Amino acid sequence: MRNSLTFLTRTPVVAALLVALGVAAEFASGSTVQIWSFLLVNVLLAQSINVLTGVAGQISLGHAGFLGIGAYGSALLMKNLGLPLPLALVAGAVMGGAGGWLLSFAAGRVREFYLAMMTLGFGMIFYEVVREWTSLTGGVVGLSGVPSPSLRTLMLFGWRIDPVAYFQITLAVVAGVVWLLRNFITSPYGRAFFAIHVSEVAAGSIGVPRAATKRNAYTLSAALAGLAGGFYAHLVGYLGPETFGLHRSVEALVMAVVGGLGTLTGPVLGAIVFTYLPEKLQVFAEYQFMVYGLILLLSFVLLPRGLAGLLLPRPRFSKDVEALPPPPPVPYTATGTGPLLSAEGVSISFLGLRALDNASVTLGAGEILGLVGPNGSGKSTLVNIISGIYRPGDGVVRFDDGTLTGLPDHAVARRGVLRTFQDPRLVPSFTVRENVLLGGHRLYQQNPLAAALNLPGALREDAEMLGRAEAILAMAGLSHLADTPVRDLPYGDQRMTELSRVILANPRLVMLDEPAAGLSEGELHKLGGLIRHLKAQGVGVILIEHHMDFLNELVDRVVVLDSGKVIYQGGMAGMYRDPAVVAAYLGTETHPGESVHA
Amino acid sequence: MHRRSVIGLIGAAALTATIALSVGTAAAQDSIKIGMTSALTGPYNEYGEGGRRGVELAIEKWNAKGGINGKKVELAMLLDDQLVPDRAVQNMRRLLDNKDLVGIIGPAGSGPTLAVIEMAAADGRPYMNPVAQTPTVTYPTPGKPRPNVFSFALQNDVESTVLARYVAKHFKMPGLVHESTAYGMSGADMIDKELVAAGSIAPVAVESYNQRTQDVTAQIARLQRAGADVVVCVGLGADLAVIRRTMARLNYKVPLVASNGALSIPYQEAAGDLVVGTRGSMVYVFGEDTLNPAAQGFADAYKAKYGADRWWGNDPQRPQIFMSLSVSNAYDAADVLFEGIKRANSTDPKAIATAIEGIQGLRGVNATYSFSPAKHHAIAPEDVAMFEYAKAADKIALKIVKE
Repeated sequence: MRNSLTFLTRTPVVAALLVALGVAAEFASGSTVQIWSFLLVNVLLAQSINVLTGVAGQISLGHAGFLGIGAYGSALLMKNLGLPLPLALVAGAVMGGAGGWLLSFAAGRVREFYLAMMTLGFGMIFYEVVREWTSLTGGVVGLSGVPSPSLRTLMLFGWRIDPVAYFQITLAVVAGVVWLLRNFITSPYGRAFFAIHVSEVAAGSIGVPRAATKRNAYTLSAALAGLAGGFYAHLVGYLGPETFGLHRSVEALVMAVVGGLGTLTGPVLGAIVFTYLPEKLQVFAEYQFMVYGLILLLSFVLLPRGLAGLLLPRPRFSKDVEALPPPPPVPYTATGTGPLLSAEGVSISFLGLRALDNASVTLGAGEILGLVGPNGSGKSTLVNIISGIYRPGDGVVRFDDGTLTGLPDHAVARRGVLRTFQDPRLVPSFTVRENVLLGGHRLYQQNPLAAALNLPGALREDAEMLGRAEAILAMAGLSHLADTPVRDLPYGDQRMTELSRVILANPRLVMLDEPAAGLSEGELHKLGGLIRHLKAQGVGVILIEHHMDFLNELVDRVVVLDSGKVIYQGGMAGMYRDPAVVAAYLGTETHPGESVHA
Repeated sequence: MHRRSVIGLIGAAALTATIALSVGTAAAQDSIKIGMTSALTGPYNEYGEGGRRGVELAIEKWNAKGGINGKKVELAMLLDDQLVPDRAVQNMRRLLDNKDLVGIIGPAGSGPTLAVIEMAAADGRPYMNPVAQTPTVTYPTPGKPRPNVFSFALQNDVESTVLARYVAKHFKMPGLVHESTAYGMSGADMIDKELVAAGSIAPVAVESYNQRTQDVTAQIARLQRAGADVVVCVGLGADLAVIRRTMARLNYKVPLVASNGALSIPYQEAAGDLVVGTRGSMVYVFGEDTLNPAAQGFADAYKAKYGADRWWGNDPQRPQIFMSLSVSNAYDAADVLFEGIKRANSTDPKAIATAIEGIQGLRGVNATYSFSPAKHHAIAPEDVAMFEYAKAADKIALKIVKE
């Protein structure tokens, strides 16, 4: 079924359907056209919550508030100041967006349940304000006399808009918005939303600023809800506070969830179902609430990925462009005079435990440094400090003649300091290729508007990035898996995908946290190849690894940590003879070639 | 009853479909068709389902005597809005799209009614408002009704007038408390004005609370400190019970005088024995010792068709007082609409509205109706009385307060 319905998402088919719908409105009855208009408002609202929840992973139980801001804003501006329809609608969207932008500051401080409760509070405040601010909103009595096509009071450039024309206008706008959204979601900005959704730390590690990205998601989502509100206000011609209560927020969420979060067709399907469902359920009379609840219950159980997941193939999260051949790699030449990286006297404590104690490490361009030591010795902590996740209590980290200490993780990544994690942190629903493209985030020059409009410059950049990604995939031996979602892949392939993502970022310094763990011999060989490739490019590499055999083949130097202190620096061979290392880590005397697991 | 309403709805849906197909073909008008949207299901169906029954009883009455000028009356479209404004708007559009409908009965509350009223006013066909208490539904500007809208609800302003007159006559230092809604605030305002007009007394204190509040101790204590000799409240039944219990807890022994919520079942259930002494304003028709003939006829017809159910009340012998705002209001609304069509001998909207405006002294269930071009509401202060809960022989009963 999934593939047979694919044609429905093709652009010419969608365009033909839209035109057919617009023409059909001329012949449909007034109530049919009206319910189609309600449907379009619901589509916008469901897309709005989908951008926030399905794409960026932020919860909102107060979306009716944004809908209301747009509705009252647009209606009041037109009614009191005589703003023409397009300006009033845009103003409603801007006001909704401004509301979302403001809320995002508070929302950025909390997560999950607290976020849900906070947005719930926002919705309640909006509801109360509308009820109490009688002089502006009409309070509980509501706001009558909003210019509306159904009352024949809505004018546009001296032309009296009837309900059919209003529907056609709404249809054109909604279609345009969904097209822009599609372009946006398949752009680097959209992929950044998904990255924040899955793991904020991983998103930060590739240069996605979490606070700004969440803020953008709230603003965009709220602006869409505000636009939906504007269309709603003029559709109905009357606004009352009851329309913007909690039930409306929940309904918006339900539409998006049942339709299929994270896709663009899902919210459309959800809106169709929940615009018509209440009417169709009227035959169940007093049992209709039960039936409604039952349908919800079953759809959540049986359709975890919503209707879109059931009916349609997986959407793509990158643009359908022809890859351009990648430019030949140009090795870095050192710009600074000193070492590429130097961490000097770095200390940090957690709850009184000294995780790093005056540790100093340096690394040159094109050098591979092994970081070894028993578990809990501070290896990952050091990487976390360099990559900006932790701020050291003492000490300074210099990189390429600048200072990294105190920079947030995304800013560190933007300087070219990239890392992987012990457990691969990828976007499970993305394909290998899409995950790798995420790595390019710090390199993209296009602005969000160009991305949403598919301007030629943005598309060319996408094509170039895609070309580089294909080359890296080929090098990592992942080309045959490029179109497979990573959640279906074994651990080893996920690791290689994560490393490919880092390579696409054109890093200056790469830190790999136990990259060899769980890899087969063949995979180890490929991993080694990629690391050597980085070295040849003049990239500094820090390897946290217990696999001594693997390290032995690759590293120029090792640093051994124990209880937060550097106890050895130098060559591998010397390490085996160092009594402190032997006592702390190796335990008994071992010989090169043996793998040690602490 | 469930079965019947299901069949009714399916029937209505089927009819709708047929009508939709025949629109524009000027189907032979062999019946007078009306349409209705109301809260037939959902948490607020007490008024909506009650209203449907009222309308159907009126239709049966008219058809039993041969219809309107020989044409049968038919509830051709019956839609459920569950008191949700958006649903009411969609339903109203469907009703208004059906050019065969001669008149419309509107939703069962102010929220959805305010959402649809402008559409209905723009359409121009007679629109009967059975429940919405907000005066602006009928009078967007005071004294100037919408030409096609007639109200059979107990309007806020009417209720406030009755309360204020009663309080001015019996008390010296009234304390006012109201819910913080348009209903509560405008009600309190009107009482305030009426008090000053009636007896040159002003409330000693005015307090407000949010709907569904659980604590009004501060507000009641302030009234007590101000020395109010009566607590006058504009609010809903459940909240009134909270107020009454708080008064008892504070040992504040003055009467509670309240809007029609005082007579509601939620108040009686939540306040229990404390209701004794509470007074409330209400359409008095079902509180009279002997029912007037129209009310008796309506009650008999209701009992014969539906039995002594939830809308009828606990006493199988006589309908509960609240029926005047849940069933007989819609019954009267349909009845007056049909009378207007009969007098106009036409289905032209303007002719019907003019005919209704010409109705004088028509005995309905809730009141005797007189309309004019400036008066489109049915229930006047004279049709409303104060009731008091009294205990006699271990039974609590509502009695009309004799002036």
